[in-house]
Amino acid sequence: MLINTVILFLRDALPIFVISIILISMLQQQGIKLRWYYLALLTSVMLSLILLNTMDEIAHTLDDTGREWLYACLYIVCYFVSLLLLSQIAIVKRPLSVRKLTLVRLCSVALTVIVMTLNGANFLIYITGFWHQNNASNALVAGVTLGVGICASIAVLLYFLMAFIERYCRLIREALLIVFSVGLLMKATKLLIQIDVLPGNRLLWDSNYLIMENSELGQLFTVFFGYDATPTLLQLLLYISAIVIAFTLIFVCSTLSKSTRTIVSHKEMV
Amino acid sequence: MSLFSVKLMQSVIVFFALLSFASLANRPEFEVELKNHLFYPAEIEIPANTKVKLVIYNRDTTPEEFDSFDLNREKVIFPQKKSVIFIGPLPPGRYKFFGEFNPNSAQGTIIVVPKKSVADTNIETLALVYTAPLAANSLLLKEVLHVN
Repeated sequence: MLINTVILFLRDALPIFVISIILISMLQQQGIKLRWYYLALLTSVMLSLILLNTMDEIAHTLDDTGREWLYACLYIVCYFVSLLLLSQIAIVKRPLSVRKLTLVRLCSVALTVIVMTLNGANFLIYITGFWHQNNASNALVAGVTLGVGICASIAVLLYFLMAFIERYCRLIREALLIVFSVGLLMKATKLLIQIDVLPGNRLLWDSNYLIMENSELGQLFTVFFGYDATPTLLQLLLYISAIVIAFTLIFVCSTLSKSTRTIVSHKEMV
Repeated sequence: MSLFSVKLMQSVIVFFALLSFASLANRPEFEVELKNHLFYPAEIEIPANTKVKLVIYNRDTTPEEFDSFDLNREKVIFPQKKSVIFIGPLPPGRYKFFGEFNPNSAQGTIIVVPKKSVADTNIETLALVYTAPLAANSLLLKEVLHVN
């Protein structure tokens, strides 16, 4: 039970740590203080508990597909919120207006709350389900402690790695946010295929022999960029399109931002 | 709200309504039960190249998560409740699944078997067509011999 708890904790908590670090680092760059994160944390804890108590009813709505619909819709929302956030944070470094700062904060809170609530509720189902079993509580506490240690280590490493890579690649935070949110989109497609809403035709390949999806590395890749060892053609096309759309958006926004700046500085000179 | 947003919302609703029609299609149904953290039956045979509906009943007092890396599926099943997932179409083979919360005990396999081919069905039909009159003739012959 100890090993199982650690594995399940990593699966559910690692996305929370990763998105938190990406957003905290991104907003710090814009000079935004951490208050938004505390608000998101508090809201997520409350919503996770509410979701935990209502999940049973939700799961049995829509012909036993309610949970998939809820999770898939929220993951899709996450992708679009990420696009909105990326469009607001200009690549050209300049102070953002108050309106833009508020929008950036709101997007970050929404992203954090959705990821934390969905993953938190998942893990709470496991913890609360097995807490009263014989001698399970000790193993659960030990597993969670170990899991927190591993996740915190990865988060700290990621924070400093992003700061280091930024010297060579300025877009590292944005790129990480894009692949993370596209990964969530992949989760959504997987859920919709599972309930027969999207066609789950023949699998394109099986790369489990290279990187097992349930291995530690596989889990890490799944969290960071939505790795799927057995994707379908639809999933692959969607993955590529989502990444292309996001990078095009960044490019267009940065070009527009640059041209606006040039016009403003030219007017000032005149 | 602008006319464009209303039209956009309508399109989204129609899109999802069309998508959900897929789930209304009749799929062959298979059932599996979870008791004392064990799957019953532990092996389920399903036809190849067919999408099937798998209904999982959790008879335990703890939740369980149906998980399969081979099938690319995972779903939480609450205590004393049922859950539904769709699998396939799959080529013939063995696909393992397990309970994520009790991976050592809750294990099972989905065996995908080839469908009876169309050629085989045609041969069987032809055989019936030709053998039925022959059988009738032999009975008639026996009766004639018996009378004589």
